[in-house]
Amino acid sequence: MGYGSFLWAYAKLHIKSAAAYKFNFLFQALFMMLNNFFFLLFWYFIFQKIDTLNGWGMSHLMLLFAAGALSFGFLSFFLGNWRSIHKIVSEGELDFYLALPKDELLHALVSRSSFYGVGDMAFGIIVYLIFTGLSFPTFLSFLIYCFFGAIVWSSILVIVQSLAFVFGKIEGIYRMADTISFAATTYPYSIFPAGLRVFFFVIFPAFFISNIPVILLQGFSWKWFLLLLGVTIITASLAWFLFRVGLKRYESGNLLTVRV
Amino acid sequence: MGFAKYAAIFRLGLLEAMTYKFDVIFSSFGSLVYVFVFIYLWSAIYRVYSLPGFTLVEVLWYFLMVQTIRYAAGKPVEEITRLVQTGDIVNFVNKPFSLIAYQFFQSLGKVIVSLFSILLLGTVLLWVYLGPPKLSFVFLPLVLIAALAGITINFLINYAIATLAFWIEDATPFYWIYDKIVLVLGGILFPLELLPGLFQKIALSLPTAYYLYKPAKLFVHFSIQSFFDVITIQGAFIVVLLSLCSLMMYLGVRSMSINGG
Repeated sequence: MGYGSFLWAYAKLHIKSAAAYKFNFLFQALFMMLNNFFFLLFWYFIFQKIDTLNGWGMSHLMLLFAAGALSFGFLSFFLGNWRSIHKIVSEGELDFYLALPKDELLHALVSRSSFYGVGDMAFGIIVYLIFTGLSFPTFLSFLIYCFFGAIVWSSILVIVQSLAFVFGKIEGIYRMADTISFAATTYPYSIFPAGLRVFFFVIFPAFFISNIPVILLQGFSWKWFLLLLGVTIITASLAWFLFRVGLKRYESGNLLTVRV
Repeated sequence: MGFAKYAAIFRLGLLEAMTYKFDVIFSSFGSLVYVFVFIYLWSAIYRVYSLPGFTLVEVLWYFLMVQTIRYAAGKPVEEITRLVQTGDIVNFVNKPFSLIAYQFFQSLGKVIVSLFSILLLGTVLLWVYLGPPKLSFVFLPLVLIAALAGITINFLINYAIATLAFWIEDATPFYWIYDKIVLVLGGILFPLELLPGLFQKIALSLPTAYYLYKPAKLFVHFSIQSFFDVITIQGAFIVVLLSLCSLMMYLGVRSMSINGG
């Protein structure tokens, strides 16, 4: 079975699981949409008092949030373990994937799904449509930019979580990286000074998750698109490489896991 | 034996927090990320708009106290929900202590260690960016009492939400809603002065305002009268919420069925 069929099989499994537990699925998805709505209230109240924030208007901030929500939702539903890799490694649950023929990192990432991810995706798309309108080419571009942003986001966190191979439990480090990535995704880059912009564009490229998609939606430029594509490829490759390096250090904990 | 058993539980929780103090301190750095972001966000906002009653420096110290209390409080709902969902709660219901009190005093040690470490690190951060604090730290012990009372309110609300797991398996979505109510109407993202008329009135009447907003505002605008006003209302909310949690636990345990295996 090729990797395409493998990923499609897991995607179908997650969708079928959502269909089988309809009430739970709808409940979680709707509550996540309501959950995200409250975040938007913050910007609504701020923009009752100001017109722009360092050149960004309310619609830009809403698109920023929509891009972040769509990326987060996509990862949570299709790559549900993207924020759990450090626990899988430190608690010895990686053993299950070692015995199987597919790449361990990819398999670990796709083997779980969170229903609330659909709520995030739906929310992101609805907010996008409200503030941008119904142009299909622009919508398709939005989906592509957010897909790349999602890959960057998951890659950054996999790179950090690979430290679990060295240090074991890294809950503190992971939470800090997770919080930093959320902060860079939900606030506009224009509020940060030059030094921090360099950090978030080069060292911890979290601005490519949602800030760059919004910049591209405001006006396409090959420079930013190719940078987004390049950062996606580099971070994904680095994440996979560091995970493989860490895997060589991994020792089985002989943990008996049950997959039901 | 009365309170002595809870004092012993608290002592064990404190010893555990002190044993893993570097983990707690490291986690504290994570809590300061948003304080760091708010320095730049609110500096940008204050270039065009000033929040009534707050200078920029006061608003940033306000956010430090909000983040300190919020992160020290943690997410008690996770542990309590886990106990209910896995059935481990049966190990506690036949013990001679209140589970609510046990959970509270066990977590209190980590809360206190987190409170001090986040406040200390945050003070250093703001000192570097804003210069020496113009606030008086003389009344800090009283502010911390109000902060602990606020954390108790949050704990009891988390507990009430977690007990829903007795009936609906997964109460997490209700916690998300509560978390977002706290975010917008509890004073995390902005002091409640930013809210328009009716929203502000509603927000100030909720227990969430007494969890974060009131103790944090006490930190930047302290007066003895304000302190007694806040602590009185916090006490009233604690009594009401404790009664609610006790009732929900009683009804939940009665309706509980354990999945054997």
